[in-house]
Order: sequence, then structure tokens, then C-alpha cells
Amino acid sequence: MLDFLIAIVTFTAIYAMVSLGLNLQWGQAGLVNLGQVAFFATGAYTAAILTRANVPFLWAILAAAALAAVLGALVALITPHLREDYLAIVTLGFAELVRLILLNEKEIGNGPNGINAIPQPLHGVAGANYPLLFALLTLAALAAVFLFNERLRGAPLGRLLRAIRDDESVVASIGKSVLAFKVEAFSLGAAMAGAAGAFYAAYLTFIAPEMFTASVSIYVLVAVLIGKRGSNFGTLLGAVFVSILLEGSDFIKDYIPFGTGVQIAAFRIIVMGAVLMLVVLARYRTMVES
Amino acid sequence: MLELVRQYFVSAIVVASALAPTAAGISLIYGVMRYPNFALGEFMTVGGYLALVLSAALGMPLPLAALAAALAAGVISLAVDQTAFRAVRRAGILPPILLSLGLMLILQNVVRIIWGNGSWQLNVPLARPYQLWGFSVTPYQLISIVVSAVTLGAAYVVLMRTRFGKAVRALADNPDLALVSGVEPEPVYAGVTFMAGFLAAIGGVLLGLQSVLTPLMGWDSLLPAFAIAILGGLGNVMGAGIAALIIGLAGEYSLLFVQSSYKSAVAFVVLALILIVRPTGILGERP
Repeated sequence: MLDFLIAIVTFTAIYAMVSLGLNLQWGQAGLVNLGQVAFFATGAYTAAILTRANVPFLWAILAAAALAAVLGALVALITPHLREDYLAIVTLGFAELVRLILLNEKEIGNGPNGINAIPQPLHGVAGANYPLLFALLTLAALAAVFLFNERLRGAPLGRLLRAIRDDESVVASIGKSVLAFKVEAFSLGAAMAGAAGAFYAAYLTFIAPEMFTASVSIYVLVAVLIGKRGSNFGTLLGAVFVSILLEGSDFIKDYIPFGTGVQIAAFRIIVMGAVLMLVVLARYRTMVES
Repeated sequence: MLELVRQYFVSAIVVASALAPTAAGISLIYGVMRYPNFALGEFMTVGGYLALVLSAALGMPLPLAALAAALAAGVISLAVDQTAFRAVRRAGILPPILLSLGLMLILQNVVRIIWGNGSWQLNVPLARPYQLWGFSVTPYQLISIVVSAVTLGAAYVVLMRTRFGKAVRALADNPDLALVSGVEPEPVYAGVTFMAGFLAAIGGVLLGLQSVLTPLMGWDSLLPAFAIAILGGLGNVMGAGIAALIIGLAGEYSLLFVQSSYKSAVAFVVLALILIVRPTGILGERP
């Protein structure tokens, strides 16, 4: 039971970092991103490859975040004038493109077989208590991301991003470069997902393209929506909900007498889809865009 | 080499025939109700599997099963529209996009719960390919092309020759003008969502006829179908037909340069280029 709790905490912290990244892009700056999983995957693969080449974990996290940020900046740079719906399509497709590249370019990460035996940071230090240590490391990273986002909300940049979300032309009219801020917000959010990916790879010690499907982008979307877009604390709560739904069902699986593994996995995604639809129906009045 | 180029031409038309009806459905919803519906790929999947059940388990002949499956998919599409999407009609573009993502997850995984992750084959007898003007075509590929053309043609006639079609075109062209001219929007929206579900399901059966049914068939077709819908111009059914051929050809001829698993990536790159360079589509927003 305690093991399970530690696992849930770790997953929650990882999902929360990805979700906070999305909350920065979408909640604060109003940039719809249905492809957050692309940056998560970029981070996971970057860290996995680097740590396997004996690069220290801390450097691997930074590299994962940096590469994801560059990719995020690229997406933001080529789509600055896209309408919300087009941005939704392009980001969804972009993530699929990244997944296809990971699947096909075998020299990156062995294609569909993925990367295994990913080293874990400080392994051997804590012995049997290692999962607890890893959970604490992940929580520390989450705390850093959370505090950064909270500071940003109050900072001039945060106010500017919300102003861009509400009306771009106002920000442009006071002589600020809307594009530069959009790129900044998008790549910062991507970096958070990238860092989370580094923890994900180290935690599972195995990654494969099938773990980075569009569903993951939708899960973090649900986390941000549950927490009322824009609120960092709410996003945290949303991430708790999402990871309990996703990982908790693994725990109760042993107690359910019916259904195959595939069916239970499918069932929890159905619940996720239903939650998404219900949250939208309950909240759409507060989601109206200008 | 020349033989390969010829054969890719045939498979491009075959691929296009399965994607075109779905793309037409996406295009109609996008053009009239103004949101991209990401769940329409799943209506392909649902249509394909329903046809499988009706033909294999209930013993219906496949054409009848396909028609019944498409009608059922249309009804499901309409039912979800009335219970969920209708509530967010005036709430901007984001809520219906998010609803369609939720619906996508639900439909895909309902299929997975019932039929599992494996692939299923529609029960049709094996058939030898014909040789037509030097092209090698199986009977099912021919059927797929003919059914797709007839379906799109029928949708075109409905849009051009009926009162309903006139209202659809009016709402797609200029919603404000249509509303002040006394067009009742709700019945039109209902008709469009039914049509979209119906069209996508036909596309799903055709895809199943060409290869196999899998829970991911709709998702794998989604980006190409969006590329087609946007290239053809939103709300433009004939445009979707022509764009399907273009995307089909791009996808097949890309095989000369990249692996086949990149086919949907090719469609996405075309799509992204269109959106960034010419957001109104190449063929314009006409029905």
C-alpha cells in the first residue's frame, strides 16, 4: 500500500510538471497546445540517451528541458498567426510527427522497442527505500516548477502573457513584441514537460514510442481544465486526479474479477474522456474566448 | 520503377476513396458549425466494426450491413451532438474542440473493450486482381472507389439540390445573413452532424474492405482526413474529393523517398504548410 502511494506521488509529480507547462502556455498565454506529449517525449528520450552515456542526471534534466524548449520555440515561431483551431490541429499533428519519428528512426531510440536499462539517479544510496528517495527528488523538481510558475503569474511577464491571451492587439499597440512573448511562453512550457520527461524515463527505466501517444496530451489537458485554466494550484489538483485515475486503476486491477488488462486500460481512458466532456459542459461558460 | 509509379497511382486512388467521405464529414462540420471535430476519425472505426458485427454475427449481406452501420453511426453522431455539443453552440471554438477530444477517447476505447486490440477482417471472399489498362486492381479496390464516388456524389446532390442543402450552404457562406434570412440553424446542424457520422462510417467500411479493422484505424486516418478537408476548402464536399486524390498521391509517391509508416506524417506536413501559407484552403471555401 505504501509502495503504491509512493508510486502515485511520483506519477502525480511528473504529470503535474507536464500540466504546469501546459498551464503556462494555454492557461496564461492562451496558446492552445494539443501536443504537449511531444515535449514530454523529447525530454524522456534526451535524458535516457544521455544518462545511458554516463552523463549525470542533473545535466540530463537540463539538456532534456533545453531541447524541448528549442522544439517548443520552433513550433511557436512557425505558427505565430494561426487561429486557435488551426493551432490545435497543428500541435496535435506535430506530436504525432514526433511519435512517428521515434518509431521509425531506429538510431534514435531503437524504434518500437524503445530504450531500456535507463540509469536512475543516486541509485544504491537509499537501498530498499529508493522509490521514496526518487519520489522526493521528483517532488523537489515539481516544487521548483510550481514556484517558478507562481512567481511568473505575479511578474510583469505573466501579466503580459495574460494580456496577450485576452487581446493581442493591445499588447502590440504598446510596442511589445507579441511574437517574442509567445515564443517565450511556449518554450518555457515545453521545457517543463521536457524536464518531467527526464524524470519519467529515469523512474520507469524503460521508454518506448507507444508511451507517448496523443492520449497523454489529452490527460494533461484534463488536469489543466479540472484545475480551472490559469490556476497553478488547481492544475496540481487536476494532476492528482488524473494520475490517480490512470495509475490507481492498476492497483485495483487485482481486485476486479472481470475484464482483461486491455479492457481495464480501455475503461479508464473512457472514464478520462467522459470526465473531459463533463468538465467542459460544466465549465464552458468560463471558457469563452474574446 | 515505372511499374511502381503506376501501382502507386492505383493505391493512391484507393486510399483516397476511403479518406474522402470522412474528410467530407469533417469539412461539413468545420464549414457549417465552425469547429474541427477530432472524433470523426473514430466514427470511421465505429462504422467499420458495426458493419463487421452486422455482417458476420447477424448474417446481413455486407452492402446492407455497411448501410445500416453508416445510419447507426449517423444516429450516434446526432445523439452526441444533441446531448453535448448543442449546449456549447455559442461558447466559442474551444469547448466543442475539447468535447470532440473526449468523445474520441471514449469511442476508440469502447471499440477496444468490445473487440480488443487485435485486427479483424470483414468477411469477404478472396478475389483475384483484375488487369485494367495495365493497372492491377482487386475487385474490392474497385468497389471502394465506386462506393466512395457514389457517396460523395449523393452528398453533393443533397447539398446542391435540396432545401436542406441550400440552408447548409447559406450557413457555411455567411451565417449572419443566413440567420436574418430566416434559416433555422438547429435542424441544419442536426442534419450536418448526422451526415458527417454517416460519411465517416462509409469511409471506415471502405478502409476495412481494403485492409483490416483495428481500433486505431480512425486515429491513423485523422490527420490525412484533416489535411484533405482543409485543402479542399471547408464545407466543400467536391473539394474534399479532389483534395483526397492529391493527398493520396502525395502519400503514395512519398513512398519513393520515405518509409510507409511516414504516410500520415506526409499528410500532416502538407496540412501544416497549407495552414501556415494559405489558411483558406487551395480550392476555397465553397460547397
